[in-house]
Amino acid sequence: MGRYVARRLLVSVPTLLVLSFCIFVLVSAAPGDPAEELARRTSPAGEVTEASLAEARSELGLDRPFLVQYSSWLKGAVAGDLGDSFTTKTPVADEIRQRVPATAQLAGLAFLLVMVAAVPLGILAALAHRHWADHAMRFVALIFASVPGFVLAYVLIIVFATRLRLLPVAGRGAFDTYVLPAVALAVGPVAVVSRLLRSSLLEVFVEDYMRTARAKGLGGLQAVVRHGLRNASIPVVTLMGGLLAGLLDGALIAEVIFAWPGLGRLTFEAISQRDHPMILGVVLFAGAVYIVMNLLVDLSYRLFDPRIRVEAGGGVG
Amino acid sequence: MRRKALLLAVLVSLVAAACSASETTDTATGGTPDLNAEVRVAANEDTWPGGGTGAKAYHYMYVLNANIYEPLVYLEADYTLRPGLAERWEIQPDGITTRFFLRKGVTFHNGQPFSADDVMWTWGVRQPEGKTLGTVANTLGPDSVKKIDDFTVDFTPAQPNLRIAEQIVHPEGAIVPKGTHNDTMPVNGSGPYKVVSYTPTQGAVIERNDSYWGAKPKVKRIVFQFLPDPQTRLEALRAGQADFVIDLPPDATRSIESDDRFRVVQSKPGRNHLLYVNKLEGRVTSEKAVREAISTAIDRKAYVDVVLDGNGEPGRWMAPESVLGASADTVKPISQDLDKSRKLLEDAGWKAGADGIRERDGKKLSVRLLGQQEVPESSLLVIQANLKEVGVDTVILKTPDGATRNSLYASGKGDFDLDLEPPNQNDGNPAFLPVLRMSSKSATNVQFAPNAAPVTENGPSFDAEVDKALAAKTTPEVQQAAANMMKILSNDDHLVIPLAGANRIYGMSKNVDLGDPHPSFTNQTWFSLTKTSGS
Repeated sequence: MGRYVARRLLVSVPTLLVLSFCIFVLVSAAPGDPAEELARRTSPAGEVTEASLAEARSELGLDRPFLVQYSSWLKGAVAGDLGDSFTTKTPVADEIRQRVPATAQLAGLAFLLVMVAAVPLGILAALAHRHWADHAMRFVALIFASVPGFVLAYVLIIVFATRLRLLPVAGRGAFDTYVLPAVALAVGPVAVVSRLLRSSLLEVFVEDYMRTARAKGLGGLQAVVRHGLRNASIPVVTLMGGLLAGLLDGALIAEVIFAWPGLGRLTFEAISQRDHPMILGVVLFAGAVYIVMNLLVDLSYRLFDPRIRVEAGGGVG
Repeated sequence: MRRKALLLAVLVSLVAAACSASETTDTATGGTPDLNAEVRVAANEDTWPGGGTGAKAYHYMYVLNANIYEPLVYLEADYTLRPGLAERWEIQPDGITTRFFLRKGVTFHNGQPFSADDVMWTWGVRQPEGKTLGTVANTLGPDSVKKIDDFTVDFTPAQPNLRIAEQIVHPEGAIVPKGTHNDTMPVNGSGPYKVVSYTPTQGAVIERNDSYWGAKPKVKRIVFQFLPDPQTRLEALRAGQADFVIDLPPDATRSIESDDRFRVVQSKPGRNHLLYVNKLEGRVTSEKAVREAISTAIDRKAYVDVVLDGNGEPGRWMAPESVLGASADTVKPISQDLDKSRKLLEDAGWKAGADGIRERDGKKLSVRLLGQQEVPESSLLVIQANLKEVGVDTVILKTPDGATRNSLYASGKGDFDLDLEPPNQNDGNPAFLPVLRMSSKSATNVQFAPNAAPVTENGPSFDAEVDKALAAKTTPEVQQAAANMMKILSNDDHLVIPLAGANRIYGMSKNVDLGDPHPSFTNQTWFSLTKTSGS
């Protein structure tokens, strides 16, 4: 197990390298000259002259060959130095570090909501297969999975904050400020995860061990909980791993609407202000989070299905 | 006799009571201002750290001005100047120096006295290092600021510029105590408010400075909540979680006004929607006839109705009308005249094609219209529809951010014909925008500069007006020079097409009022903010 984890972590290094190179190429190729942007920001009236442009280009190291720029950035990144933000002039790594707790807390709560709501709903839908309740849940799930996140966010604000005055509109403070953004983030995934769990359970229901369990006198729900759920969880866990990684990287729109000071808002600000070092930093962070989550998901498979062994060759089977 | 005296005393006290009531009753809210009130303000995104650190920091100054620090000169809502930390100022006999006489007896929040040393630090030391103190910094050299005595300072720019007093109003130029910056902790300004707390990206609490040298603010506390999304700000007001909302979306104005619980307060136009026209060789807009045809094809009234939901005025100037004073009439309004527009194009050889789009020598009359991030989509569509009426095809280039827009400028040239921008007038210099954007000495704006190649027929006159504006010793002189520049740009050479002047819109609870909504958001002071207890 330890060797497997070590091997996977080793493999993640070239993955991150390739990812960082792709990000660097994409951000460099994006419209907008970072030197011009920097020169404009440091000029009193936003003017750019040839001299200020050359100075900015030199300050950013853009007057060097592309690969030299990349290797210099990478060297810094390995040492934890992702450069300084154009806008705040503070280290990118510090900015990310400051925003992580807000995003992590929100992501954690949203993820918990998904688990708490999606699992029972998925089981219920599977047990009520072809019953009107199954159709009703499918209909509702379809709606929630289709509604754009920002629409849902506004609906939640208007209903629960403006009309009913039960919860705050936006901002981060006491626990009640977490509720609306967390629900806004959780609703779509609840719909998707519950549907996936339902399908997965329906596949498991026809297995011999489920028939045996029922023949031994276990009720439908008991059989599902004791034998079906674990076996049906593999695809759901895979999906939820990606979902958690996405939540940890920050929910861009929800964080702007709810004025949440997390990574999503930081990403939004970085993109809208074309803050290249910040964009590179947050995307690299997001990539790293995905890689770690993938590893955790792979490791968790064994918990759900003991037949799965971590193989020395580097995979699960 | 005693009875008469008693009657007189009663009368006097009644009159006094009436006078005192009229002083303390807020006319808009109809209640008594509560001097201990707290007002919760839903503000835009937190832009304070945006300038960086140290001398480059914007903390508490810009874009949102928390009135923690003060400039030497304030810019009033009608664009006149009001003494701030400088009691008065005057042009010196040498014709290039502006002398500021500083206010005595002022202290910073920590009790430290204010003097010329603080002005020297802010403008003489910090500015050359930081270079973030507004357009005025462009003209100042390292030795431009001199202390004459403890309460007198001279500004002698390195290049001709008598607009210092008008430019220095910008909040970026507010005075910080010697040896500190506006991100130094603890925060120490001289303004009417003191900082209680600040949580980046979330909010700030400020409190009245009871030791302030001037008239004290009328509310005790302001709690700013940074809510970047305008719809969220609106809902915060409706939900009772904010008393006051900055930058209400124009289309929300009516619904807020129609709600008995709220009021809307608007400033006069301070932000002008302008269409800059690229006159460089090779562009269809290099032809004066095409530029004039575009200008006369646009329905400015419809633009205000559609884009600003009526919360503004049809465009005529590049700056707020009041900043031009009596010279504003020099610039003539341009109304939509489709017949004139079509005739101009016909006479220039642009004939209507089968699809209604004009052609000449096999080339379609098509313009590329650039709209930056903050330009509403509707404004681009209105222009597109107007131009289509006279046979001009419009390709809309809506850029998602400033950098993409800048890339389309391609180092001073740019693949576009029209650029729609909504600049603000944040200082008191009437010539600020035409000089900044259109002077041939400006390196970045050769597309629009009349006196940069290809020089327009009024190009030399334009630059002469630029020089006049910078050297003008009186306000009427600079106002006239600025108006002359705008006339050349909008009426004669058609390089700038003013579309609309947009009001600043604030939404608030019925018991809250803002007496002096400033057209320049960043120059907004909170002295006149009141919250009444008895409405």
